[in-house]
Amino acid sequence: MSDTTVIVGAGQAGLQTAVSLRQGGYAGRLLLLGSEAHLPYQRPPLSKQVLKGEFDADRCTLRGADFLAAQEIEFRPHSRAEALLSDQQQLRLADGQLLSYDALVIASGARLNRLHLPGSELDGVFYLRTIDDALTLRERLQAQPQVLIAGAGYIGLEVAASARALGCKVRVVEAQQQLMQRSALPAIADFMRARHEQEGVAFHFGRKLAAIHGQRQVQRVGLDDGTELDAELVVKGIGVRPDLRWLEGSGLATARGILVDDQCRTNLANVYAAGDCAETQHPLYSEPVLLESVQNAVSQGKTCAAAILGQDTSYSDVPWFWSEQFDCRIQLAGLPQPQDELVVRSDAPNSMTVLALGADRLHAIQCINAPRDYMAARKIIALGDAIDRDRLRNPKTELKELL
Amino acid sequence: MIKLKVTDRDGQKHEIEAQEGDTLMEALREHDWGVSAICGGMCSCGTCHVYLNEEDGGKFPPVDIDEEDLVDMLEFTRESSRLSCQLTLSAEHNGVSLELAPEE
Repeated sequence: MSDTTVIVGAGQAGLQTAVSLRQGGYAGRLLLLGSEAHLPYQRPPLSKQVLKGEFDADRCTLRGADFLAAQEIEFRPHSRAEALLSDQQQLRLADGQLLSYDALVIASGARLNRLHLPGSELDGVFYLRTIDDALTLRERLQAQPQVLIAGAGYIGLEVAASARALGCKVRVVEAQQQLMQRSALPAIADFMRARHEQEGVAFHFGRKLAAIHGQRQVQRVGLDDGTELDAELVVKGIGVRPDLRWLEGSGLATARGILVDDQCRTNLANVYAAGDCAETQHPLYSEPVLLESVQNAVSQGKTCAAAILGQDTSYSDVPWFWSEQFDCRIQLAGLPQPQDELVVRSDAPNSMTVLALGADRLHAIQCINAPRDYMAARKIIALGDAIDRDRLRNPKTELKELL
Repeated sequence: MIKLKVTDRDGQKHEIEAQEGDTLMEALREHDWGVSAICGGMCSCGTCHVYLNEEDGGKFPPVDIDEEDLVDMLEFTRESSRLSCQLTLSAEHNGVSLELAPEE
């Protein structure tokens, strides 16, 4: 068994790896490196409960200092990995320190896509990734500024809903023609667009920000078609990507993310990756998948721990995600495939279920305020059994009956 | 601080302390034998499932429709099932005893 396991990144994936290693009886030294000042925390509430003032920062902490100490997990905040020296099985930190490892887990997450525009340096231009970002933004939203959000993805839309709840005027500028273009099926996207519009959010589709204007503070935003919009606060929600720069020259195989197999193993001996930074050869899919979700982070953390402990393991979970916007809980499970038949069902007000049917089995469900459908479909997808398409198409069939 | 009696999935009994105003899930998550609570309290995943006896269950607000829908679909649902993320703790919950449901 390994003597020292170093985990880069103290988010959900990194923390889960550490917790699961101890649960599995790992007796070696365990170092958990966090790049921020904070104890491991969860990000999903940042754009929702934290912005709205319902959660304070402590409420997001996943595990306290007492827990980490009791589990003999050496948590080091402010620790950023700078280089992987795999020949020596060492990691170099930003402060120059060298750490030797017997097993290394890279769970360094993703970094924000930045939008470099004239005026980006003005006061009132925000990103939202960390808890510090969320607390600063929350303070600014209290004054009910006119908010302009770049990007109608999950973060952009959750911020839009939170800002509306706080009484701000909200506009969203989106380069595509649809909300949540990358992951939501059109019926779900259209439903949510209507909900946002009912709540007073204004959309500008097919447009990009060209410049941000103001003296010291943001005052106006110019779009690429020449439109000028008043705005006192700009939030850029244009996605994230794995942070791979520090791994250049290390010999680690990467594509969009760090390439791993179904045991979270990379091409390098004793080096594993998990969570937002890992691009996974997933048994359910022919192409490697890059999943940015809590479920993926937690499941891969468990997989890494099992692999390090030498247990037989294979990560094959059906991916699932959720979002909350206004009174809508959006839940997604599985990944729709291009040729899928889409079945839209809706049997209650303010609710919708969309099923993505493959030739012989259910590939995905996306639903709004339909937890019963969601839980049943998740199980059907995981079982992978042949489906009766006619029964699935029939809105009278409860999905539970198909289990 | 209030005290709770918890039986874990291996049948081990624990007495734990919890903060008033936290949810029961947050109190349970702090322990290595506790709940995983993947969705963080959004009533979205069912990984914080517990059983409360009738008397103690009555000290919490009744199950709402979201929780009911989710609990209904879980594998190990019983009459006494609750999602601990939906239960906020206050002084009257001192001494409550509960059992963790098996992981799905």
